Amino acid sequence: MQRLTWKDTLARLRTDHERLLSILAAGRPDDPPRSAYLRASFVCVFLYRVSNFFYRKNHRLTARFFWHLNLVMTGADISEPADIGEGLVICNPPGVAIMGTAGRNLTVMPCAGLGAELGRYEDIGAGPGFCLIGDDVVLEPHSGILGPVRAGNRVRVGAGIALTRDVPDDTIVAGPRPRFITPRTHK
Amino acid sequence: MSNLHDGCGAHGHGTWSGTWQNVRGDIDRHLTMTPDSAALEITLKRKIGSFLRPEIQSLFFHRLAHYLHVNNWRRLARAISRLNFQLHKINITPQSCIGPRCRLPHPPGVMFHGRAGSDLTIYSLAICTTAEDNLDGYPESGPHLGNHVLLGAHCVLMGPISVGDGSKIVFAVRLNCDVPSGVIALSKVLRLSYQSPDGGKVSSRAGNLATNSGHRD
Repeated sequence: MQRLTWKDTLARLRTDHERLLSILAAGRPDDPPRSAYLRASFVCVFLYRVSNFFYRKNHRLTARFFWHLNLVMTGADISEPADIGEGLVICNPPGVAIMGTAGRNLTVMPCAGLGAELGRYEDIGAGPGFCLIGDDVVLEPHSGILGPVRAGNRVRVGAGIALTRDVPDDTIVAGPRPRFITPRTHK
Repeated sequence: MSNLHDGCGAHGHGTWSGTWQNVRGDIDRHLTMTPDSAALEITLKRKIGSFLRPEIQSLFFHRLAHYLHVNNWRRLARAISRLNFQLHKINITPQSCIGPRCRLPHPPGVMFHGRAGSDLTIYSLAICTTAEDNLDGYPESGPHLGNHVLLGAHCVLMGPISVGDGSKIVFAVRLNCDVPSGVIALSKVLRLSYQSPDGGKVSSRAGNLATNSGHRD
């Protein structure tokens, strides 16, 4: 595993914060926020980066402590060995579970995640059974990339989708549209 | 731009008395949620006891945060919203406008950003959010729900869509289009897939078994 200095960790955190700020400012162009350090979205990423730093330094117990603190404070379960590039944004931490390798600018919307699938343990470079995804990937609410799957750059996984196959760059994975029925009224 | 929009004005979210009426509506709905509980007399003891429920606590914190937000106490509103998040793991943005008599049986994991009428029911892990990745915009960027809407568990509503009065969005439905009034929104039938003893894959729709080797939908 690549060594990561504290300086690298700080640089990644700075990029994470800048990207979160730009997303927040997009929602309020006339009143953009000046900082997002106290937001749960950033606290969760900060605690993950610290736990990942200690994990790479081989301080496993300290790494585990920060992982657990993250779980208690924000409700996000981001494993300390997960290797996620700079620009990570987690919109709503409770229910998010992440383990795998991801590129830059990963966006994780509520209750989405990366993880393993039961019975598939091939190692494609992210650990046994875990996924390897590219840059600028967006996971919509309740979606996930599961198992040893390669996802390219700029992939968008639609809400409620569990992606278990490789997908190329610039792909949108969407589910079926819902149907509407009108209930019968009982007389 | 004014913080007090049409929905807020109708529900009295700009005043403390209006906000308190909304809280009382939530408690009344909680105390009369089943025929058995509705048959019991609503006493002061039951009303105070309902404040120990996470459902009422999380709604109270949101209503307080929303009241502060529309009265331009934005930082305090955000702090209350954050406290709500820490205590109940529910994320309702302070600018979201929810009408009276709301039900929220299982707060953890629920996210709401938008506007809703009265008698809204939100089940566990339901998500109402914006389509873009802007986390904290105006409530108009999120879904606009009518009165008597039910959001089932794990359902996802994204973007500035409108849901008509009396509609029900059932379990695990993903919506990014408008929903008319009085309908039930369903997801497509799920397909089951498992390995048969001879090695082939068998898939079926619920209640209608049929062999379909080589496919895993």
